[in-house]
Amino acid sequence: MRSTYVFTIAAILAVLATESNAGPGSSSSSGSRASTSAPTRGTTLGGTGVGSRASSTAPGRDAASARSGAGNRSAARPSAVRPYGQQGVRTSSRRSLLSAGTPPSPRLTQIIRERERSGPGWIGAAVLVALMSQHDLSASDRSWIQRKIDALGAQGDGDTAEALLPAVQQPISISGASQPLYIGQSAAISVTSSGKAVDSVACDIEGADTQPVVSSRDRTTSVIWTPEHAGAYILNCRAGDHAERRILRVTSNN
Amino acid sequence: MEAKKIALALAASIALIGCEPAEQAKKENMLSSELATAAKQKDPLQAFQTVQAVKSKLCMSGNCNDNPMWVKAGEDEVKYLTAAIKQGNSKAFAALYVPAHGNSAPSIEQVRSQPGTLSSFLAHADRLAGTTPDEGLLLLYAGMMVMEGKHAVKDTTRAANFLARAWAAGNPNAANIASRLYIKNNDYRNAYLWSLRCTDKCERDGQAVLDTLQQRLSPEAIKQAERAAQDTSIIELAIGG
Repeated sequence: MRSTYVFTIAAILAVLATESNAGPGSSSSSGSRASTSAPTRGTTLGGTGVGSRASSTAPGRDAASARSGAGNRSAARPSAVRPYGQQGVRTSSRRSLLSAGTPPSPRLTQIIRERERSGPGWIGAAVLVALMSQHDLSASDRSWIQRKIDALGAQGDGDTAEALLPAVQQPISISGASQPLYIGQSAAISVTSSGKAVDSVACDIEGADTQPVVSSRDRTTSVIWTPEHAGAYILNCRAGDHAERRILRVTSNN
Repeated sequence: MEAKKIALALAASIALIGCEPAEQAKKENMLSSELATAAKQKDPLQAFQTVQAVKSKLCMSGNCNDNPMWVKAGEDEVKYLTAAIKQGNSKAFAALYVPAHGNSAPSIEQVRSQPGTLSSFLAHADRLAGTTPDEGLLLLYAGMMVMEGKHAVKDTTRAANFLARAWAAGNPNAANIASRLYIKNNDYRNAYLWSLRCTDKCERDGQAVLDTLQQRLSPEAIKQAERAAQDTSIIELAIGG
């Protein structure tokens, strides 16, 4: 019985000794794993290697490549074009925004902490821009956010992992709406639908005392309107599932 | 020594209250007179302003609310301002919703929190022609109310319309607020379009915002937004259309 215990203890010690000799990185310890892979991450995202990765099969690469080829801003943000598959891989700069430098106001600090807690633990430029859009921020907080955005941009870490947004097709085009209209004078606005087959165009003007006369022929619709009062009106046009809105400016001076 | 302490405490109390009994009586007489004047005024906004002016003139110490006459003055303010709102008076709405005009006086807070006040304001903004800077300011704040959705139903289209009309009415900052609206909706093309329109007197949130938006767009999308920004009738690019 006693020899069994001795044998068991000896076996455990042997196993521990074997693991110890294998060195860091080979054990199942998460701490060891992190310490070996971290430099690799930094290399991956840090510099020129990113360009070749960017030409992989990620969605949106055509637009990104064209932009990079044109040379605009690509040098300023070397890691901006990042394949989707790499989104989860971050540099060591991905830490709390509050971890360095002067903190912002307590209110903004709280907002950032909440954002960081609800996400992966850090927030990028996109969220900072969204924060900037809060109308009730103080000037000093805005300045603080701008410095952080600038810093992220300088690190090439501007949270632009997504594909660059392409231009969008405009299924309804409107001409004659940008020039000023005059009270009592008839104005003609032309509305054209394009793309897939769409229904005839319907238009109305919000806030107008009199609605326009709308007539369609083929894919072109004429909106004839004689405004009665000066002001800024909204022209609404719809064709099938599509909608387009324009500002119409009416003045009394001709 | 004890008497000296009492005297000091008494002096401090008088200083805190802000007036001696005789001074208090004089103030009450003046307030009473102005309340009577306001009651005779036909324009409720003017009556509101009369009461507001005398309150701000006399009630400097901040202890006015304890006195029944000051309470009456506050009630009159609410009554007159509510009547002005019902008349659709733009200046009354401005007193409530435009920070430069309004304030945080209890009477204003009370009217603002009354059911239907905000919807009246938004309906009023719908009807505004948008031909003057004052109207542009009201449209701007109407847009912000609908954009935030804190006290009104959040409606991006309606908010964009208000902001576009504010911009057309000559309010430069409406462009920046419109940009914020689209950023909140993750619509970076239209956010960029409106950010481009934030020029001259428009107070942009920061060059970093414009740069970051631009970095998210392809060259074609940038050109498209830049062209659209030049056409002053365009409110937004149809995304996903």
